[in-house]
Amino acid sequence: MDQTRRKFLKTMAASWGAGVATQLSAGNGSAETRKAARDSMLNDGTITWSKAPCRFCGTGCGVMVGVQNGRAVAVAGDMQNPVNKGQLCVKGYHLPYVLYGKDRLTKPLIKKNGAYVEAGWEEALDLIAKRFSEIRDEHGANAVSVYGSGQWTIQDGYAANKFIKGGLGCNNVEANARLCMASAVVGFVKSFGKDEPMGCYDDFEQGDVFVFWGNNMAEMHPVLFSRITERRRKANWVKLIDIATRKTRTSEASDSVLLMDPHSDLAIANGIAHLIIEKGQVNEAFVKKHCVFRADNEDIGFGMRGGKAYKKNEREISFDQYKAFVKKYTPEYVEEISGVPQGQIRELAALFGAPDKKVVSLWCMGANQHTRGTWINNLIYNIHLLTGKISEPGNGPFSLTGQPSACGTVREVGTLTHALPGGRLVANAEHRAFTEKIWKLPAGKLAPKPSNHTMSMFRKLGTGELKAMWVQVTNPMVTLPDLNHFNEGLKKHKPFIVVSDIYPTPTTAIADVILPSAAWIEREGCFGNSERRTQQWDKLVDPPGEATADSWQLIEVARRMGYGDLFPWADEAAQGEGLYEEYRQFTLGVGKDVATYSELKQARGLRWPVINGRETRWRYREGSDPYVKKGEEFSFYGNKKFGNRAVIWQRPYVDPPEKPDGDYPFWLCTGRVVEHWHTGSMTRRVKQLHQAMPSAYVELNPEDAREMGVSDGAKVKLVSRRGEIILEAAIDRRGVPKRGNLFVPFFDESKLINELTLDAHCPLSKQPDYKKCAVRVEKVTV
Amino acid sequence: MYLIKWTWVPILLVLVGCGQGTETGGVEPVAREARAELRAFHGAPPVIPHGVRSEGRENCLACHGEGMQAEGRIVAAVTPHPTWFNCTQCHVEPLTDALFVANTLTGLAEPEIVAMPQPFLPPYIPHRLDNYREQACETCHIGTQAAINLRPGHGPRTNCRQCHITNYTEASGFGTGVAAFPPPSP
Amino acid sequence: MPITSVVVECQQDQTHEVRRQVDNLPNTEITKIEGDLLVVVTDTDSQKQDHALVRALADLTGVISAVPVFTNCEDLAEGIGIAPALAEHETHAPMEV
Repeated sequence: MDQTRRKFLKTMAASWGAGVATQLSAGNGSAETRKAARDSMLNDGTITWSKAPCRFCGTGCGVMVGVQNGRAVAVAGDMQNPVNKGQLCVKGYHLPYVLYGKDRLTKPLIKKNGAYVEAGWEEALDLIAKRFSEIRDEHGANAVSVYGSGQWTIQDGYAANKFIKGGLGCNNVEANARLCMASAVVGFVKSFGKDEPMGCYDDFEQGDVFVFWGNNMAEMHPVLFSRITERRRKANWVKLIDIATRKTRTSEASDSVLLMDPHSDLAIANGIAHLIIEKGQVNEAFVKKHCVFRADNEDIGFGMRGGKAYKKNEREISFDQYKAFVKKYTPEYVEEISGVPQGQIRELAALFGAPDKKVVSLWCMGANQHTRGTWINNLIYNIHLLTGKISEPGNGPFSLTGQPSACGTVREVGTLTHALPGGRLVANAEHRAFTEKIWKLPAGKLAPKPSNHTMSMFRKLGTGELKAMWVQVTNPMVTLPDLNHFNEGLKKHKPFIVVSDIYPTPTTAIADVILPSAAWIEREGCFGNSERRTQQWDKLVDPPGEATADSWQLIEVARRMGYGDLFPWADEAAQGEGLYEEYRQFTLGVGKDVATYSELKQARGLRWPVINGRETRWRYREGSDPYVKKGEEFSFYGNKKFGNRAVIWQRPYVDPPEKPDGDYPFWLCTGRVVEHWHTGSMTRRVKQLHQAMPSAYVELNPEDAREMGVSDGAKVKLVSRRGEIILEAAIDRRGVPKRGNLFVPFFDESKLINELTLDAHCPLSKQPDYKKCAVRVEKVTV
Repeated sequence: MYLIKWTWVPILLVLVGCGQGTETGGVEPVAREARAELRAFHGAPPVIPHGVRSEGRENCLACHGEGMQAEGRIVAAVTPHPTWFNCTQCHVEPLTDALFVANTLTGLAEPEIVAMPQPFLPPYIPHRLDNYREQACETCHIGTQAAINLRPGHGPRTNCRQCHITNYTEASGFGTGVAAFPPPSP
Repeated sequence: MPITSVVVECQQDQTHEVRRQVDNLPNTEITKIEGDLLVVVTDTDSQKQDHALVRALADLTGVISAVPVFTNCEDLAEGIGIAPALAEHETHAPMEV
């Protein structure tokens, strides 16, 4: 092109562009109009977006909630939250709908002449306070109880603790986390002297081997599972190993599946320890410096009604004695007990034993809802302690929590019969004195003995010994094991029952007073997730009708019973920060330091201990945990009495209390599915979740089904010694049990599978075993 | 010699209904309604509108890896996040029409396509992009699986985001709309 | 060969910064400034470079969009550069009036 032509064309280009620019700037195309057009569509001024942790599982994903015209109309994954960086699961994605089921409870309801009648708050609260006071005066404080939840906010749990332990002066405060995490808690305390994981979610991007001990992580902690599968995608040597009694989505995604007989995890874990010792793969230096060995009584019953009681006899043993104990758990013996081929046991042990492999163990209900739940938690820790694979990035045991705040509320605030906030114990005089000081109570006010754990509370409600219970944020009439037994007792003795909830459930159906509660973002609050991350959210929408926060309800009744001094915060708005900041004092200096309320408001949560605004990612490890002194390398400072050492426990395999036999030849396991949260009271009211998973069913192994002549979709009857139920058979759907095993999800309140389960629990943790009992299957002819 | 005067092109596109300027911005209402039908609210993962025989992601990718089109309509959209492993973590298949209890919420609607103040300006992206990988535009807009009325009216440009913007505010937490999952190693 | 003029829309208060960056790009010339709009004329050696330069303008810090409004290319050998797939299936009107 010659230069004249070039110049001509450039001039043409320039003037054309200038013409366009001028047109744009004038009138409709002005900068203001263009900005307004952008803003109107994409930054819709009618929607505000705010952060909150998800209402559901113990993962604690961050969500952004879109509020328009006073209603939550959308959520998005919060890309700034390190837990999930913008990803959610199907439940999280449908959170807004959880608030708007048509039958939301909006007014207090009092049972009068067999029918529920709407009442004002004054009348309802006065009635509760009156009945509680009467029962206290006539039968003693221990006749009154509060049963709360791992879905309580920190504020709710702290108010309940202060009200009942500080005001009423009894230790009848329990929560449904007793049914899900108690074994994990006692496991931690027995092994390390302190509760909660030493690692954090950062482990998922650094591990080489991920071992699932009986938890269906793909459905139950899906976003965390996705972090693990993403790790494997980027680092193709990474292995996922599933130890399970049935094949699930987790198994499908895993590189190897160890299909075990129920309860035999006790043997498998010991078998791995056996091989590590045999192969000389013990980290001798670590064990010598940081561990002690202990044993306890082993014939301790199963916590059953009228059964053998647990007598403690904890004592120190030597490493040699431990080796002698674990000697019998040869691969052959373990195969005999568990049905897992020796070869697989050896392979898994080799991975644990290889010094260059970073191994993360993960578990949840398979290990915790177990009549030896504490033991299996200890046994998994044993493996990590023997190899020194602990408190290291990508290398360590990680106990996953089921509920959004079983950690933050129940465990850390101490809403259990034996506990006080900040990891303290009612039985410890110093701890009581400390609490009495903060609560401004006269010395000696706090009751020094644990009174009733959850199963004990419900048994006593059934015998008439306990006369009143206030249930909040949980659904025991669906989740207690051996439901028929409890229903009988309740009908006979008619205790005074108050239930706070957001929807009618089988539990509100037995209440004398039903109180409408504010749900999730309808009040401000804090949750604490599995990785010690405390997260805060503001109130974003108004609750419907006259619903109020659970903590407000507790405080109002406390006032009426004369305990108003305990709660110097006048209203819900003041109670949010007030309760939290007072609770925070309990956490300082004891290795559980939580961040300030204003720090939490700004952050996407912070992992405690938070010292000088800095989170702790790996506990007990020098350099990462501010409580570990320079030069110590590791310090399990919860075990001062053992020289800051962790405990390797001698824990044997024992048979469970009820095994399949001639009359009841199948194992029954219960659990969850990704679409539904717990008893489904929230998620079933969401169209997409209900329609994807409308009703409960029973999974059968395809060969078992074929032998019985049962096809997919056919109706069958399950019968146990305690109850029976008719369910649709699910064959070759998302879960395939091992031969001789069944699985039933418990989200369906019209199919109460807990009428069949067994009221047996771990004698140390008092947590029931929902994973094992014996049933038979009968075909149903139409 | 090709002399392309770009202001004329968009006007043509307007007339043919491929660009902006018509009431719905050129995207057929049917397509937008179909999009909304599958989603609880704008931005929610779509439910699976067909039977699923096998849950494995290979089965999903068989159709959604490359996408499928029939008679000018998207039959199987290309997944905007092909590296994400667990499809059924977010996408579920309705097995019934029934409800357990009715729900009173109408989730956030799919946004309107706003007419641009000047016809040739590249249209703003009228939908959320979180959970979409980079270069996911072709999922719905380019190629044989893309509905005809969603295809751009311009040439071989592959860096769509250079001209088409979202511009969510900081407060919305969406950033530029591209999710960085999982979090980077410390 | 291609000569193109591009209208660059800048973020508020960023015009100065964008100008500075454009000055550092080769084969560009700012011919007009109208509020937060710049008119940039580019003169490159190939279609490929031309496209790359428009992309580069769009990627500058502070730029909202960069839209070519005029382009002239006289090298037939390079072709007009429409992707084959699109060429088969595009149904809208041809580029020229």
